[in-house]
Amino acid sequence: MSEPLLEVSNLTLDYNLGNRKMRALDRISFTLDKGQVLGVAGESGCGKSTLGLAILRLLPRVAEIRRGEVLFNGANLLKLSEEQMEQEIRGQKITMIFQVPQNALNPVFKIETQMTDILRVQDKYQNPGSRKRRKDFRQQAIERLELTGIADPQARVSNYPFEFSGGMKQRVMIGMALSSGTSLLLADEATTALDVTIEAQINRLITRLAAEYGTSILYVTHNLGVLSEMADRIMIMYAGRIFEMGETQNVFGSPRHPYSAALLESLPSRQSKGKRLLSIPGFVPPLDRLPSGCSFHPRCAFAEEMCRQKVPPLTEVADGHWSACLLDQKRGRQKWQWT
Amino acid sequence: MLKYIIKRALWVIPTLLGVLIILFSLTYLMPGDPASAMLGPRATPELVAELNQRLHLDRAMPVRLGYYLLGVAKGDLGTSVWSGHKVSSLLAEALPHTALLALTSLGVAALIGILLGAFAAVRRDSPIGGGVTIASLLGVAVPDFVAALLLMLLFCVQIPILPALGAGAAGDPIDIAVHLILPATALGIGWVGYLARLTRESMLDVLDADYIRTARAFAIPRRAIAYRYALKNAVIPSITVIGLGVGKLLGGAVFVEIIFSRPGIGKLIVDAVYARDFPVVQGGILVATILFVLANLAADISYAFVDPRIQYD
Repeated sequence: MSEPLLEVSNLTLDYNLGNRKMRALDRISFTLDKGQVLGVAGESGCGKSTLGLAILRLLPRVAEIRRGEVLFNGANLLKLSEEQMEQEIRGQKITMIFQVPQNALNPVFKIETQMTDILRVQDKYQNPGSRKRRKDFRQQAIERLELTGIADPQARVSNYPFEFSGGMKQRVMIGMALSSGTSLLLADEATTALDVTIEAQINRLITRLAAEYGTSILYVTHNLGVLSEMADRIMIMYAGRIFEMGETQNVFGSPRHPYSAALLESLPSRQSKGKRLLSIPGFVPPLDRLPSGCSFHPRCAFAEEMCRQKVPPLTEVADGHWSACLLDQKRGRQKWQWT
Repeated sequence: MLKYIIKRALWVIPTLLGVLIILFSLTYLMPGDPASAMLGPRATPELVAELNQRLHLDRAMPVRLGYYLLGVAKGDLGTSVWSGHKVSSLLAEALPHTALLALTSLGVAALIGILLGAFAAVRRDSPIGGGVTIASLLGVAVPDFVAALLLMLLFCVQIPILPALGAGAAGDPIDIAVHLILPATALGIGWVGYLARLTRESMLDVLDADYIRTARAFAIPRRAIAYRYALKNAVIPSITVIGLGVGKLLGGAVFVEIIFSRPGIGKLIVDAVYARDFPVVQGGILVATILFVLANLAADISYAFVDPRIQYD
């Protein structure tokens, strides 16, 4: 039986910008099992990235967690002290790779310096009293680079980030983030800024290393196509809420929410060959001016009067398959066909 | 890297050549005949003729320029009209005092200012940040010579614990250091404020950068993030400002040297201007220019050391 690693329940978070209050996460609840990959998808501005930052408690100063808990191996991360977060969680059990590798590495320090600094911190907390030397950390950094497929790591470790391409930088980040001690990897749009060919390579690398180390992944992206290959389960978010959640094949095979169906229809596929791809009308509403009722109703082709009035709860519509749409009952087994 | 440094250093030559030509043509800006202007109204025609010949003032302009450049190239800057000493030895005597004053005040100011600015940025919510801003505004707003006079009033007159005049006895490091405290403070205090504010602003930007978030995500100790990861990025604008500001600093040094009666280049130039001792003025300005150019060169080179992204070729 699978064991839960991360259990998020009712996580609610606001951004307080002056007198505007934006609810970036609204009652987010989900479970990520050990060794599993959970894909989080949605358009920009849905709160996907906020989720990863909230788990590591690296949120900007204007963010405020209202309620909810984030259980990691049974311990509530939101209740830990900053010191505990640093000694046990950040960079140790939970690591994160970021959206724009071009900016994620410090431009004025060598790769070697940045990696050995991280390795030294990990070593300090994981093997107290260890007597590793500078040379050992350098060697370890080279090994990590080699694992991530960087050619000539002996020489490359002495380079500066600007001497690496975007894909190579993301490999360096992965080398920093993935080790045998990592339980959970938060990948925040890790390949969005990369070329499509590089994207596939990087994703394969992440999946391979994670499988090797038994690391679970929370993979945030707006690219559903990527998730179909790597994710065990998928969570579709919209304007701070979960709209649909379930096994990848179920969400892809029979989406229960019209928004998920629309996202899937906007992907190129064999069936869509020769046809015009769907573009969902309108855009994600600003979080401080959400429409009433179902926040998706102004853009939804199937919206009815009640969608305007009632907020749809996230309901289990089939075994392990959750959806938040008022019309689900009425609709029965009929598919959401946008075009 | 070496190529970059050499290339950058070669640019010093045309700059200095330009300055030399301007300095040379200044003789033409003096009202009337330079020789009688220098010697004053009571000079005899013989004296004027002798000086004209000695300074090659009786020759055509291009020839004179040639003589001048040749002299400078040989290290001969002429002799003082007033004292008869060689200008080069006068300058050699004065230069260490100015260099010591400028380097001390700028060095200490840079160290304090940058650290203070970084600290204020890290503690952006505490009153320290606001304190630094106010203090630095004050420091920037008070001119060097006012600061010099106030410091002198305070520490030489009200609470007489520091010497007011001179540069200290030669060969006595403690005496020299004691004599340096007030002038260096007067000259550097504005810089502390300026650099603190500059560093605070760029540090605040840097602290929001993605790579700082990366460092936090990997539990790099907070102090190391601020004073190593962030500060090395945040200090880059300050280096440029320091390099370009050396001119202003030398200008300030003139006032401070006069107020504290320090026998430096600034005082030498001003005294020479009053005395119409033209070769000394020329030589002094030339040395000041060289200092300025060298400071810019040093700034550009240290730039390349701090920021590896600078193109070396």
